[in-house]
Amino acid sequence: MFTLLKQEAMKAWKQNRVYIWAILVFLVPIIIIPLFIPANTQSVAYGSFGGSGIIISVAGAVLPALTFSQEFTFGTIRPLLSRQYSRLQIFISKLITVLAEYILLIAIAFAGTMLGRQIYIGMHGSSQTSINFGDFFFAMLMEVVGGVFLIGVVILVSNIAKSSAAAISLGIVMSVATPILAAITTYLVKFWDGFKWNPLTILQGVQTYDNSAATKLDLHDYFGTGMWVVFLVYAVYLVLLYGIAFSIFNRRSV
Amino acid sequence: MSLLELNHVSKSFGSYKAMDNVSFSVEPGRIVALIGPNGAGKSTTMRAITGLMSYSQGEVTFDGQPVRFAKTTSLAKMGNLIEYPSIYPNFTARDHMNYYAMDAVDHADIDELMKLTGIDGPKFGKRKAKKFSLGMKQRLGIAIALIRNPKLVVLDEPMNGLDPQSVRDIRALIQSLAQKGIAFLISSHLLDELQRLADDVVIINRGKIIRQGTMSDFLGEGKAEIKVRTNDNAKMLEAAQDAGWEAHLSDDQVVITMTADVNAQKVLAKATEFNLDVTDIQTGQTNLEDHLLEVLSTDSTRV
Repeated sequence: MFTLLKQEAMKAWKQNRVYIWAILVFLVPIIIIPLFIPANTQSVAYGSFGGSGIIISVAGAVLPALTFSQEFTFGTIRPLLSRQYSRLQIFISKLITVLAEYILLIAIAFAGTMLGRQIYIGMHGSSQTSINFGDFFFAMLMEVVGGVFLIGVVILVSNIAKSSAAAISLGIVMSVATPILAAITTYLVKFWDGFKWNPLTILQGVQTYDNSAATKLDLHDYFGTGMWVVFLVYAVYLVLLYGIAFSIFNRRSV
Repeated sequence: MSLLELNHVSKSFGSYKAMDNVSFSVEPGRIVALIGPNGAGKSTTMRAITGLMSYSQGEVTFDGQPVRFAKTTSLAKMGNLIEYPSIYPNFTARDHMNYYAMDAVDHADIDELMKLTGIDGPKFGKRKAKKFSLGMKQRLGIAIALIRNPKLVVLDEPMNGLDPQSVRDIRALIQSLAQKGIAFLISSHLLDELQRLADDVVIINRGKIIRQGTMSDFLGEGKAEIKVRTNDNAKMLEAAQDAGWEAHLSDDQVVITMTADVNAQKVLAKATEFNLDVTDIQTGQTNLEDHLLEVLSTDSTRV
């Protein structure tokens, strides 16, 4: 498995040029936060990594799509599968790589955000720049937890369509449209209460969760149960999503 | 036990049988040509051997271990180049070598292999693979197939896109590696190249193996021919046919089938008898292409 991860890392660096994304998410908050964000919205800007949040969302669609579908596009899937490793090992090595890339980009964006904040303080003073790091890190954790679902969708589409373009497009659309679709599905719950357990509403619930008492109460009222049940259902959806994606990857003749 | 064995392997796509009870074997150090018309099942067979495709019946074993779809532990010592080279566009040739060497149990010396396959020159250097010509990609694909120090190399159209010098280099490389005990299973439409290269031949048609054996035995089955060129080929043909010989015109020469009673001396005598000037005369076996077409035309599996 270590060898497979080393190979995936080499492809991430040399073929997919993940460092370009890393540089981007690091530099954007350093430029945006001190120069373009007014004092009264500084704390809001930190939550979106000074504009890098949207880049991370796009990278969260592009990188998994490339990691899986480029192997079909370039024909490299043949030597990849015609080896002493099982398809499960290959799938897991790719999955670990894309999750690691996602977490790494968030960590780098966080570092850029903190540096941007320090530059802002140096330029304008520390007024309205306070951060509750507990809440901040919890929000980052939820970002990763929510991102795992979108990455799963992209991986599923990559394996079905064998096309980077289709997977990237759907991933980007999903990252933008999920809140809209979730709002629609939330509206439809009025007509049938069971509909609230659909994956998009569950994803929205997970992403909304910020560990505050008020949010916990709101989500409890909406779902009619404790948050742990919502997380459990979310975990089941993830297992199904990745299970189907692997099943397609495992059966594919190339 | 042979290095590679296919025992009664079958594979169907719906009602179409891509592999129908396929059995053959490959011994260490042998170069085996897998030939047949388009859609005969060559690529399907290669995919089954390399664990890329499931098969419904039979068994493929390599180095004493079974090879099945998604059970490919035995493939550590098999290299392959199927259909086209598997290349990452942003990698250099050396990146590819380093990448594919990572999972090799005992990989080849990278510098030596790059030199052997001709991918070490300034044309390659730091250039990314997306800028390689087809021939350069093909050389790289062959180097990738050899990186694991394989016992068997499966090559599908390895000479595709190569210039004559490169074809000669790759042929010499394959022959030298075969002498060291590496087996090759090669499929190609360049039959004259296979005729020069292969020790054994396996012919597949409509998913069935219709002939297998050594290349020399297979070519020996073909008719021996005398090809004669005269100042009046039509008259020569008429004279030969009047004598009861099997003969036909081909391009600018008369092709006469050699038998116990018909040899080059008799053909020359016949030409003299009819006052014909012989400008060229050659005797020889049928080539692989001619004999393959002959075998395929009489194959009962053909529709």
